Amino acid sequence: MSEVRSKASLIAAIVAAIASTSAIAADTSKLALTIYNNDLALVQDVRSLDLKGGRSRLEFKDVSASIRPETVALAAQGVSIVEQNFDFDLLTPDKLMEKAVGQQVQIVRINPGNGAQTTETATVLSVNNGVVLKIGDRIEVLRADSVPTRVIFDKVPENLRARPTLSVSVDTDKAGRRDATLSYLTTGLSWKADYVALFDEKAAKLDMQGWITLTNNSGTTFTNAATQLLAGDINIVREDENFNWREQQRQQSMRMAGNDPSSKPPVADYYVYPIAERTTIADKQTKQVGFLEAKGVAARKAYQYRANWFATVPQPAHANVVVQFKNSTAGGLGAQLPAGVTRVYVQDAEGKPKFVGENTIDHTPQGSELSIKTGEAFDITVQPTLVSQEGLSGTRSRYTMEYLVRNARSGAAVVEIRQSGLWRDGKVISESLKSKRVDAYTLQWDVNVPANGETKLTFAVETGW
Amino acid sequence: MHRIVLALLVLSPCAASAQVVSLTPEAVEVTIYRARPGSTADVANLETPANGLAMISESRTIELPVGVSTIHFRGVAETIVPQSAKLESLPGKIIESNFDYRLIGPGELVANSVGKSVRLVRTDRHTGNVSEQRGTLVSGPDGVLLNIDGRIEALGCSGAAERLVFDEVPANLTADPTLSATVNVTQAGKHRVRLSYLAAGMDWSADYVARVHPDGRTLDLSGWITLANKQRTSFTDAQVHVVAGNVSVMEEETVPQEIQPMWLTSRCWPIGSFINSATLERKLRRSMVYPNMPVASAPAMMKMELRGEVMAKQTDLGDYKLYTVPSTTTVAAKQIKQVKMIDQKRVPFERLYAYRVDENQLANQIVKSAPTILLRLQNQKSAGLGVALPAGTAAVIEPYAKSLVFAGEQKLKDLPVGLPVEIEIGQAMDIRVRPRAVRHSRAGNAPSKERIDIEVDVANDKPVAVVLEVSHAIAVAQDFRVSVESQRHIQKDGMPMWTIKLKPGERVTLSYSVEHAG
Repeated sequence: MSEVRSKASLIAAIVAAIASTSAIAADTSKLALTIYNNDLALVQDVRSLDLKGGRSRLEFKDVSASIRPETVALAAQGVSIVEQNFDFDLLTPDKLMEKAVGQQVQIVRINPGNGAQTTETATVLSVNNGVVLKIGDRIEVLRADSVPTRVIFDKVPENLRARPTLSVSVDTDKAGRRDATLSYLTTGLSWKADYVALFDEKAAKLDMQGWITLTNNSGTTFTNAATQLLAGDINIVREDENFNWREQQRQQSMRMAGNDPSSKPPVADYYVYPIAERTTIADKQTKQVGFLEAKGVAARKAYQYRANWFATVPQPAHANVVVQFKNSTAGGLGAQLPAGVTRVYVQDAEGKPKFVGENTIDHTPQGSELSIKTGEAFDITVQPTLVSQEGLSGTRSRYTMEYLVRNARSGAAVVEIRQSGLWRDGKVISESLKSKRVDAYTLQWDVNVPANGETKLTFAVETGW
Repeated sequence: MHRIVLALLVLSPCAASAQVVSLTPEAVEVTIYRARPGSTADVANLETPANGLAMISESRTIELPVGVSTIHFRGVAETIVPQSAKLESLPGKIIESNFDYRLIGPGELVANSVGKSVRLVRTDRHTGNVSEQRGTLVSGPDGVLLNIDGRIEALGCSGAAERLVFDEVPANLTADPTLSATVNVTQAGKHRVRLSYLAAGMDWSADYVARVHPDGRTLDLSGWITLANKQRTSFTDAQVHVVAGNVSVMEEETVPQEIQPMWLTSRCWPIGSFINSATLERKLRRSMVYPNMPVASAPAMMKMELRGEVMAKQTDLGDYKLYTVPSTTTVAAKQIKQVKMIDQKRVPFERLYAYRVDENQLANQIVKSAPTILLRLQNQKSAGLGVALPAGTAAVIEPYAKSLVFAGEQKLKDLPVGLPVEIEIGQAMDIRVRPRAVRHSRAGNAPSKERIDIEVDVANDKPVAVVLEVSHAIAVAQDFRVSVESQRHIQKDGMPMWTIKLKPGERVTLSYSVEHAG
């Protein structure tokens, strides 16, 4: 019950909002878009329509060319839908000729010998492997003799469109102007987040900018649309399955009726980012809108090497370079970060930014720690050697490992070596450096390597398997 | 100190904002990142796509009024990754940026002129008379219809010579890729801004040539950068860098926008009937109104440029190596360029021979007898080298009699200073190795432990002394140990290794036993 009420009040609010703005001409529309991450958008198109009482046919031009017609719904006070059609019958010369069957056209023959033009009126009899015409009492095939012949049509038939058009037959209780909300799902629109992080290693800080990138490949330009973006992995059934967006919308409305005081009202388990001003998203356009700017976020660089098993690697491998920071207000950030690619830049010797690598981040709530692998360090290598592997009992082994960590940089480095592969009752027997136990299966050593030098880490562990 | 900027976007970009066009950058910097160490054959092949990425950094001067303006940056790289674009040094806020790339083509011209007034021009094939009518473009480009004085005609279906003439190029079509940014500045005047972005279609690789001196102990090592611009945008007088090291790139995400050209088709009604019209119709449907429309770009012309005198300078970029071409150079579209990056003379090296014993091969008796020739360089300043070596192919040229021979080549991985450089160049002649398992037994009392006694006969038939390194590939690691040996081994790259020095004509037998779980 409350759900019905909330929905009704929402519609009332929309109508009130529209009514308060100004009188709107019949064909102008108020567009609202909710764009999802994965090639899907919910379009809400509020149009002010002057309707006759009783049966009438409404046409909505400029709907998305990638509309999913099965998701179309029209809501207006006192209006019930009799039927709705989506005309994909686009206006082309061949379609025009097919629709002209039984009707009169003008044909203009151009005499190839002298250029003389003869105009005649013809009736199109059939369009079937050739156009059969009745001209006076003669029956002819159009251009069967290859003589240039123009065809002139009197008009464009009603149901052929230059653009995809949705037509709806409605039954209206009483005549008058009212707002009608047309809603549907469309493909071809998507968004993602992109981050630019300018990392200053010396100051241990980074500046982060977040951009929302909208792409429109729907075939239609959305003009002046109120746009919101929804971050989260919603389940979308593709292909033949009908996606019941009405159900989706019902749930959303219900959640929106809640009393969450946050400035970003969460809709179910998603983050919603409204774009404050109306925006035009042109067809085939990539548009970027800034949504986050944070300066001086505490950040550090770390070198990491991870081994999932006890094994020899014959060639030295480069250590990963990661930039680590916390998404917290105290650390200088603290925002719901939608998933996206973070591109990391550093300033080069001349102070110009240079790209040093990128990686994806997941949907990241406040308080999370982020670790972005930007690449591999050219000058820092790790060479693991399995020195020995001894069977202790039927299900227990001792592994002796040696990690040779080399640093060709002009400064000392700390390399985090993580060794996984411990299993039941895994324990350290001996080690040249003190380890940290990350979890039951993983050990970590922070290996200090001097400039232009090397450090050898050796350890022996016993584990059941 | 963070702000959510979304709430600040109070100005509609469509509202009468000033339109500012920036045609070309004044200065451009191109930094090329390799995707993964590739072969120069692939990098220099203009027919294959480039896997690498470039960061393009452009300096442009723009004059802006106070308030909201839309700046159109013309002539950015056609392979721009729009979401990577970054605009700096502007005294104000960026409201939004848009990337529009709809090149002027026949299909685009028609599609963007629907509803507009165009001219239909007919030429009489017999008399040559030209007549012209004005009409409104009703639909296109998938079949073009015109409304002329309230009546509808199709274009290209009559068989007569007819063409469309447009009054202007629709405003949203550009001749070159354009990035536009809507900005709100607080200060009017000329601003020098930096526009940087990532672009696809570029790559680079490294190659080395080692020229061995007649002394057989030193070589000259030269290194070359081959960089390729496989896309269609040229960068004039650019500062060029390449980056060595494995840079993390999201190959699925960092991609240029896919540009699909619009096709102009005639979509006519069936024509004629006394021939197989179905085929004809299909043919006609595919036929284009403008037969002269270029279908694809002109065949790629390979332009190779060699810049031998100048040497790229190496500095560090974070944890990567940055090589900078010292003077500015033009990176032309579809061009391959080569620049020297290393030129080290008289680098001492060691020539030695390596052989690996493999237990499986012993059991199957498919052992080879020739060891591998190995050139080993100590990559240290004190040893005459001490330079970072980006991954690439190293070719070795040796003197032979009075001429030179190509002795072989090998791919090197990224090698920092300090790691030895080992170039395997081929199989040795006149050094023979014969490994064999002389006994395979159970080791001690353990039921599943085995012991293999191995003898390796080695012979040097060369007139010079040689060094041979014999190593044992560990097939089964569990409880592996070398139990008995005729000389002490060391551990190299996880394998036990015996170094044998052989005088001219000397024959030696190395014997050792390994034990491991079965």
